[in-house]
Amino acid sequence: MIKLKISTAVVALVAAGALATTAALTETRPTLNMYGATGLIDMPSAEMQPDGILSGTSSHFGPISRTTLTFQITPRISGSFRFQGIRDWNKVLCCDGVNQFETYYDRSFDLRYKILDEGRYLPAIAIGLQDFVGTGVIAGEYVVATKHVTPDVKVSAGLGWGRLGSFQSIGSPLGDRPELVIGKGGNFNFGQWFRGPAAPFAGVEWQINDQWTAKAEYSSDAYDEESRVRGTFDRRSPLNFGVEYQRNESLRVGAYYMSGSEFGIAAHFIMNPKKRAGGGIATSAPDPVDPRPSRGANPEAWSTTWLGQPEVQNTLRVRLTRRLEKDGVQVESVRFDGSTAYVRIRNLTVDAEAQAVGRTARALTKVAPASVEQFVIVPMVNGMPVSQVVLQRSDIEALEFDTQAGEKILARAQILSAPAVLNDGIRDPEAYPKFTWSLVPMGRLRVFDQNSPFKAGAGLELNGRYEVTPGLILSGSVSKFLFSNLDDRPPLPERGRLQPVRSANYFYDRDGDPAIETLALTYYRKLAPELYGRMSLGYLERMHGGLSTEVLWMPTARRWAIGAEVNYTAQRSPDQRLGFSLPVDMYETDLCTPDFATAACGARNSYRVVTGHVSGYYKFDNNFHAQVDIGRYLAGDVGATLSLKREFDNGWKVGAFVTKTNVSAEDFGSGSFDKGITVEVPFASLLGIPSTKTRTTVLRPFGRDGGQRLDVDGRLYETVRGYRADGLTEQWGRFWK
Amino acid sequence: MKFVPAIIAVFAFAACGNEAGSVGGGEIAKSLLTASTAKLKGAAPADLGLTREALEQVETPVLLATIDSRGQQALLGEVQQNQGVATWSTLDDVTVSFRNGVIVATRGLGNDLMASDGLAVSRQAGTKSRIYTHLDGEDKSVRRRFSCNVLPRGSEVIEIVEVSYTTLRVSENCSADGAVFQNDYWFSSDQKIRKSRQWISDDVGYLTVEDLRR
Repeated sequence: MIKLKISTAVVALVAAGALATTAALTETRPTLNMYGATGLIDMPSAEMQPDGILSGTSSHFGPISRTTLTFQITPRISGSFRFQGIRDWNKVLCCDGVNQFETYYDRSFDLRYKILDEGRYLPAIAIGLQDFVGTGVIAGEYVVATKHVTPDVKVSAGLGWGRLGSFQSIGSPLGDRPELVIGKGGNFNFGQWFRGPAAPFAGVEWQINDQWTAKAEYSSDAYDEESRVRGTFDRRSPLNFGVEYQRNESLRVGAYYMSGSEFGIAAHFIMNPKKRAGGGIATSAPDPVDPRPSRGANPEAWSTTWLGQPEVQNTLRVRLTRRLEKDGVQVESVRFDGSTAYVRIRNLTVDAEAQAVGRTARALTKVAPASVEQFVIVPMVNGMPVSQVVLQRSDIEALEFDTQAGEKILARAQILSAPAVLNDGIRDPEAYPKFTWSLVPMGRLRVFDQNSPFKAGAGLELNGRYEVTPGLILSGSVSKFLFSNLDDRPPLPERGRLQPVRSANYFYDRDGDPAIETLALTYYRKLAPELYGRMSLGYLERMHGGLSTEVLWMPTARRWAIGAEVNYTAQRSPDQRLGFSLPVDMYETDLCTPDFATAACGARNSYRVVTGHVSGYYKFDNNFHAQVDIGRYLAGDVGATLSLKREFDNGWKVGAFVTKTNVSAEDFGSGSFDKGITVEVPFASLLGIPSTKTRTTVLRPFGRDGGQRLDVDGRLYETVRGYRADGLTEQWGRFWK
Repeated sequence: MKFVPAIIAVFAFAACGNEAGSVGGGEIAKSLLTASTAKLKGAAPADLGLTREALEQVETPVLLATIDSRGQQALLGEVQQNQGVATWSTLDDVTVSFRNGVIVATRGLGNDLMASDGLAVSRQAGTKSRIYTHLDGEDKSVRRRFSCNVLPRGSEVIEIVEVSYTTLRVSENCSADGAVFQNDYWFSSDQKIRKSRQWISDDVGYLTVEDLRR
């Protein structure tokens, strides 16, 4: 009866929209629902967030809590990763298998695609898969349409399957839904999509003003398992109501009355990688360009007699060094050759290499004698020259205040591969050896174990870096927790036959306090104009140490690169001091007591392995980046990893990866194969101050042992790619800043 | 959840070290807090204690610049000329560049005006266009052509550090793609711009510049 009334109301509203003489255009904000997807309250809508938006949602009603990370991958595609907990799970059904947990936690992935944009008469239409891979506890598929009926009111109506077709279904238009074979989870459930009973849902959203929104919906989700089977809450009605408040661009909160029985709340945190805090990077002003006097007016300034005097060249180097100090640019060497100045620089703080190059050019207009017409600026990274930027001084002088200065200087500059020579010109004797250190706060999270979604430790990390000569670096870091609950023992599920190369992380968290996180000697070398090499020796990461070698072929002016890596490593002791002997207890699981003598649970007192990969990298011109790694992983398994990232020019990167190896789903454990999401955030963009640092977060639904690579610092591709022409020009606007 | 205050306490600890550009969790926490409490509040302009007597001691030309939205003030001295553009700098390295009294660029203010064509201000009513280039959040140049209505406002008496000037005020109302601003210029009898209030960018807002030369 209720259903009928609502449907009639929706039809009436839609009809009103279709017949309205003035077209209601999309003028409201696309809001998020309790699943963290764009939509109403529990139901989705056909809208999308603005391109690139990254949002985090925490929602709670009755026994159900959801934490969702959603990314607007392209203007039409969005994806979500979610962690859901349902309390009172074993209230009625107890107590083994899935019923052993008082709170049932599950991870899920969603994908949504917008088929049609809203038009004058036609609604926006989207199609979506919810929880489409894995155990499918909240799996559902839908087609939904959304139309504004007034500039402030929009109506959505759709048809759902799976969970979204569980209340008042209209039958199974596309056939029966086959039983889900879960196994260890992690598989795509193709056979189920859009099958089985379908049911309609609908809702209306009224944006009262810029801050306040009211929502009402008719839900097609019966919450069968949670309500009828397990009695975790009492679902009395398909109607949900809510009000939401937009605090500012980055925070939205909502309060709801759900299912005729429960109150709910939600908070949405919205980040736009395309925007910076405060609008721009606050750096001190650069040197104004100092134009040369004309040759006629000051012939002396144009004299070239200084060229023959090495002491003059050294004086010029010192003056340039001083001038660039405040810009965070270190001058490594200078050479003057006829009318050309060759300058090798190292960017210490600026998040955009283009800015370091631009400031060097400005400083050269102040320092270099008038007869120097050409600047060749080589930004160095770990002692390696990657590209050289060739600039004409007269262009710098002419374009300083041009409104198209960025485009014009790029058109006139040449960005070429730098020669592989080690030293070039007069070096700064104080540049090497160089010691830097820092004491910084550090935090470690362990997420998604079956007892608790979130465990954390926080403490301090002491980092040191000693650059002996260009390219030879001794670096290390030591950490100590001040507060931690990471030593609470999580459930330790069965591990199959693999060495616990990662899944023993609880023992590393528990025993490694303080821990030597890394201590390694690394040597970088440009081997040929397009070929780079790296060798690292020592405690390379918290769980493994040994030797890692790598070469990378990165042709200039291409979108691709190819690399190869071979490592010989041993697993470190969980106490993360200097040893490589493994204690017996780290092999422990809930069902197995390890023993070295009988090799129970696969226990052995040391573990060595040769791993290696051939990697291909490709940067698409739409800011997507793909990487394929094929080779042998830490547990000795063989396979391939595919990573896809959306990269923003200011350094934000959001991506996903999957690894398939020859490990069976049974040996791998929950999740069947390795996969996850990566989010890389540049500090400069977050803080609005210059910094070359970024922080990468990897979210894996299941941290297992198959498909795991050595986590060595400073792999070549990510080290040098920002210095190739395409990397240098990503933030080219900063040349003049 | 008892760990949350402890974690915040740890991250409030500022990072230290000799590493250039080392960024601590404290700064991150602080920036997130300020981001979520919206814009920084503008304070009243700090009194620089300027007197005409003190200015008499200064031999070089001096400009007084005020960022209206932030209430920050500073004195500027000329540091460089290039192709008819004069660049003036504060002591703490913020620069403002002018062509005929019209701001063509700023540096050091955050969301700077990267470049503007800086066409001279006309004192007759009419329309003209101005081009402004800024950087977006991904450091791409955004070049916009604003259409401006020039409107002479008649005579106004202004005071700049104890000296009164009779000026002609001219307003330019400019707009492009929903962005709107109004520049004001006060011309003194020597036909020079004695004072102006000019738009810089969305985040910086307006810069008021007063010429302290008598």
